Amino acid sequence: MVRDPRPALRRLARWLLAPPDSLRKGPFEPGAFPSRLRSERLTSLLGIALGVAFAVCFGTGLLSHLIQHPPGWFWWPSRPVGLYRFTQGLHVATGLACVPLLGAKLWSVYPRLFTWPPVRSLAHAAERGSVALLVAAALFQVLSGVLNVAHWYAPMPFFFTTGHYRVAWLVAGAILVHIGVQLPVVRAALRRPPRAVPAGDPAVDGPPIDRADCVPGVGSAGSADVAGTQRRRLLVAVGAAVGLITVTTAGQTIRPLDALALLAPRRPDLGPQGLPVNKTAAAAGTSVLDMSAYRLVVDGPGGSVELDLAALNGLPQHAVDLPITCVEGWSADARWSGVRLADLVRQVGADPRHASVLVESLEAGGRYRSSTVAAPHTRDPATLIALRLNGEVLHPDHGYPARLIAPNRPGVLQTKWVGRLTVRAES
Amino acid sequence: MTRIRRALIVAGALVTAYGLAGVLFDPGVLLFLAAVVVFHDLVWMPVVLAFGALVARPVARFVAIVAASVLVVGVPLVVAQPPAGNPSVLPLDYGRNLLFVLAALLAAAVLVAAYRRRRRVPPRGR
Repeated sequence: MVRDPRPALRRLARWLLAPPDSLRKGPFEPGAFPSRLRSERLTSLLGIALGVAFAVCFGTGLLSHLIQHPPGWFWWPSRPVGLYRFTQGLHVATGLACVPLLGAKLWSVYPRLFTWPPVRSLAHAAERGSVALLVAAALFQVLSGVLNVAHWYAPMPFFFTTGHYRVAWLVAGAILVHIGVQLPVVRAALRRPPRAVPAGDPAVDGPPIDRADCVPGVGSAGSADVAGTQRRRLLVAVGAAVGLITVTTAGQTIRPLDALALLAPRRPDLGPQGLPVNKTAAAAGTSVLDMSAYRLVVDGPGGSVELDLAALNGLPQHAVDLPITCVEGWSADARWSGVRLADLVRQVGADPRHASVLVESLEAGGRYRSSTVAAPHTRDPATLIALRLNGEVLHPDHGYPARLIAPNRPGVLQTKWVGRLTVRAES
Repeated sequence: MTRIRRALIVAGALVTAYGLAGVLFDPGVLLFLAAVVVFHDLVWMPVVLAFGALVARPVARFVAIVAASVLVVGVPLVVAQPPAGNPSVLPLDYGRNLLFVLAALLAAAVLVAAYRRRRRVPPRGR
């Protein structure tokens, strides 16, 4: 005999939507979170700050991704020289500022994790699912960013760059849904004068029992006053944490603050020839190459030339002041000198105003062995095949015998130990 | 407003779907996503709430919030091993610096608390 499964399913659904009160234990109990600090206004303020911070991180991060993996429609200028330095410095500083913001925001909504009943309807389940996704993705982004700039890769079981980029889309989507769901709550919370906390607001989602956890300041005007003071103190503490983190790290890219950069993973003046290095010659495998046989091969539509170091030094030399800007948020100024890329492009019969150049390193492999210089950077007179750094011959870790240096470009695309240039004319 | 909300939710759902498609076949990313949320909700938050229940003094709470934030940023710098042969990565003594920052925070908080207490005493007529 086959029984109809539908009544059982219906019973299960009914049980899920109205579980027995005997299960309502621990954090699920009413009044399990007695702190009078939480309020919808506080959560809204933190949420807005965090939303702005995440928008900044998403925008600057997506920009950095597009510069490194440009699709056909994308165009990135070579000026202003320090634009990428600004956007990427902002990306990392804002991400670090998210640590206290996200911590406080999640604390302020933590009781909602124990909403009773856990699921009220399909829509409620979907909303809770999207919030869970948002929390996971937001924590993922902030923590993986912190771990990456600290060069602590062991706790991350994935390749950072790819994971951080993909989860950024999860955060972006879940935030849009979250704003859509919570917009009336935020508007009501901010319209209300901060001290008078009404008992309930029908526009707000959820039954009153939810809100008893979140809006406890229903007592006398005096107790609401105290709660208001405490909330301001909390916001001041979060602000102070943002300030302290910023002041102790921003010196890695803002030179006047470098004396305070006690917790910066890099110092702009520490490294060979006074400049930090991401990949050393030893790590790249170029330290074992015999550089006395060095030739720079330049291929182009008008033929091919090979230049040894003497020939490169014999070409007109130019000096430029350009920063090295790492995706990890540090940057450092330096004076580079060498041969203009545009001059080399002309030597092989191409017009540097309409040419792109594939720059290949002597490294045998690696993710950043080669990079493409698009036309705006090819024609920019500040784009050099540099032979010197601050007046000295390049240190092997800075790309001896020759490296690319171009304005407004991430450091990973400033190819070192350049062995071959392939010039392509563009229409 | 209903229209704006609907547009936000639909756009958000589409972007989320795109994001999910990106991470669904990356087990490392999925593992880390699950791990951070479990750690935050079941370990970190109970510790924070227990601390908050035990410590009520505003100054102590202020110091705890700021110190916890600084520790999240600072501890990875202490634990991480700089790559061999590249002294420009993590060039500082981060353990010492972290202690210094926390000590300065504590000192500043104690000073502010003492200053406020002194200012508040006369009006109470003590």
